[in-house]
Amino acid sequence: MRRSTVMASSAIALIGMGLAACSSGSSGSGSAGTTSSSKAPFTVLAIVASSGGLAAVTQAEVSGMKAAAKYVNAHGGISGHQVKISVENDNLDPTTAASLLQKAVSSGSTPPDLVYAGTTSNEALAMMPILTQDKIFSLQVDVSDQTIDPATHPYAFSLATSSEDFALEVAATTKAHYPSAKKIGMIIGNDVNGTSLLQSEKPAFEKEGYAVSVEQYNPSTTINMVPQLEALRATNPQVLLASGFGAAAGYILKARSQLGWNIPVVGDASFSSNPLTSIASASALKGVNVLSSAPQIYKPLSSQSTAFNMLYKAVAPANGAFTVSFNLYEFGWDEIMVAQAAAKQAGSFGTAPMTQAMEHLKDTNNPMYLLGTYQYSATSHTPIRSLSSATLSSPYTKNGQSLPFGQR
Amino acid sequence: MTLIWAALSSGAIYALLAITYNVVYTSVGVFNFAQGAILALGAYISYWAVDQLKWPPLLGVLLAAAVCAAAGALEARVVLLPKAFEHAELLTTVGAATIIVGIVAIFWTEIVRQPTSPVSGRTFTVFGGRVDADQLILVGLAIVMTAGLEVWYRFTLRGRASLAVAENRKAAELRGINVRAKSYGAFILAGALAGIAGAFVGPETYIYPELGNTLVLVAFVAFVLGGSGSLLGGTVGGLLLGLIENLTARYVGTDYTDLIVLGVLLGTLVALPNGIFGGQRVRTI
Repeated sequence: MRRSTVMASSAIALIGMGLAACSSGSSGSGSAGTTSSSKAPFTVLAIVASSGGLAAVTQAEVSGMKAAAKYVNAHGGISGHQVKISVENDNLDPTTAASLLQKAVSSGSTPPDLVYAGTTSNEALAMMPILTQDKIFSLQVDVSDQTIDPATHPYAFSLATSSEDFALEVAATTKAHYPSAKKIGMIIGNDVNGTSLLQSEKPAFEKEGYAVSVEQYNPSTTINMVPQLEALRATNPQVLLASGFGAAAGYILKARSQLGWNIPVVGDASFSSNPLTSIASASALKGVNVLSSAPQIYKPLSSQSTAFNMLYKAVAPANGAFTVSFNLYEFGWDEIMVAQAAAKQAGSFGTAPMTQAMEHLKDTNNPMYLLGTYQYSATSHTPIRSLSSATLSSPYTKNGQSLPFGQR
Repeated sequence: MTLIWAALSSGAIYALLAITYNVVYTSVGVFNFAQGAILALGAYISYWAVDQLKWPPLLGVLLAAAVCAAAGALEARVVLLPKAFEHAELLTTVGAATIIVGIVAIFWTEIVRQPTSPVSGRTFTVFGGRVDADQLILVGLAIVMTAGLEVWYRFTLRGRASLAVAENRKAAELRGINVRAKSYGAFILAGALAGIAGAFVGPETYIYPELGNTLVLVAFVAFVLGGSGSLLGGTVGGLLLGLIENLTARYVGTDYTDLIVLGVLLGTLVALPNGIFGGQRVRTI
């Protein structure tokens, strides 16, 4: 009797364990202000995964934001208003993210002027109904169709190229490098982010004339990818498109090695954000290339912009070895710079004027932007850009940037 | 056959964790949720010693075992306190897991790391399938650990005393067995074994603070499937689940793996409440 009771209790507690773990993250806040101002600050609330598997990604994005805020504040703030950044840790849990946001907007205090909603699409998706209902302006990296859709979430914008445009870039770049290939194999997560990418990338490759076979994995529970890659190999693809953060990227490369499969690999943006050289051997990286945009390709600091150098100086590790792509710091930096441009144009921090300003942004090509131009419209809340900036690059990096194709 | 080797390797990881669950459960009657976190701690300690301090691998394993044994002792100190309500120890072990994960994240951050082993990168062809040396070692370690513990429990006085405690704590106490010491010993032994396992699991799975949480559900199902309290059962259950999980992912689809694993848990609880090897528990007096 005791044994069966313990087993039942254990099963219940096991389910509860995830909940307990989800509440374990600490929250913290910090102001990036450096000078005092009598005007109310421009408040930025980042609800992100400061702990969990993507904490390094989050840390880079938040560091970029804080560096940009420090720069803006040192130069008079946004029309005299200091930028104040608060960070709340959702531990990569969508439910926690929604709870934290609900608390922030219903606590009686003034809601934030800008929300950075989540490290991943999963958290962003959970927060969107609240952001929309409470009419809060948000700007994030997420590009899921379910979140960055002006028709359903009119106050949400993204800093990253739309998943459709990104998919077209991936397909066109792959075609340019592997013109004789006819079949593509895709290995991708089955979470919100992966599924959203799949919905864009599969049609994009098919549009380029490829036959596409797909295998998905569960990023939360998978510890080896041999089954998925063996299933893909059975379909005889000539190029493998790999997608995945953290350990998942390593599992893909490890399974490819174990299977002795020498198929060329194209890593998408999630794949390339990993420190591939520290999770895979040189032999496992043979034939592996990653998709990068032009600003992500390595150039010496002397050839980089003033803004790049300022950010680099602010965030570079003492030993110079970045554990994540520098691109992630740039997203954080651009978050503040784009918000500043919109706020100045709007002449107000109100959600409606900010949204209106974003949709008709005049300052689209500011030299302080690091990841390209930012132009939006009433129907596109992802940046409208030329599709020619993507290229394949080496998995090896320098200064957190990808080395050009074939170099190491 | 490469798939089978990969499946057995995953299964061995679940089995190793299930073995440590069984060590605590056999002696104390508590399911210790923190074992996964302790295994991850062991992986980090070994990584720190071998990859960062450049110690010999054997010393790394021993240090991992020692630190994790200490973690087990600390956990036991709290878990074995008198509780205000039934099964409070379960929640205590969940709390211990959360604390250990947090400590690991503070020391090593959340960055995914790859520990190396002396055999990393070596691949063999066995029975027509390609298998990494690290994977073969994991399968071997699960078998050796199970056999060693079985021998210890069955043929040594201390081992049999532990089983006596599990059978009837009061009767064991009346026979002069120090029940409290045995309970502490179970947590310490399980911690040490998890530390050793972690040192070998890390090169295969990479390490990150939540590694234990990734493994805990399937290892729990292995523990139930094999028969709670049965070392052999935990190992067989782990290997079976590795096969089920990987073959499902290969031939049915990844979307169905969690469904089938949880189906195995529910099916076992309904059809074989004591698991495959847990049925023969009636004593003849």
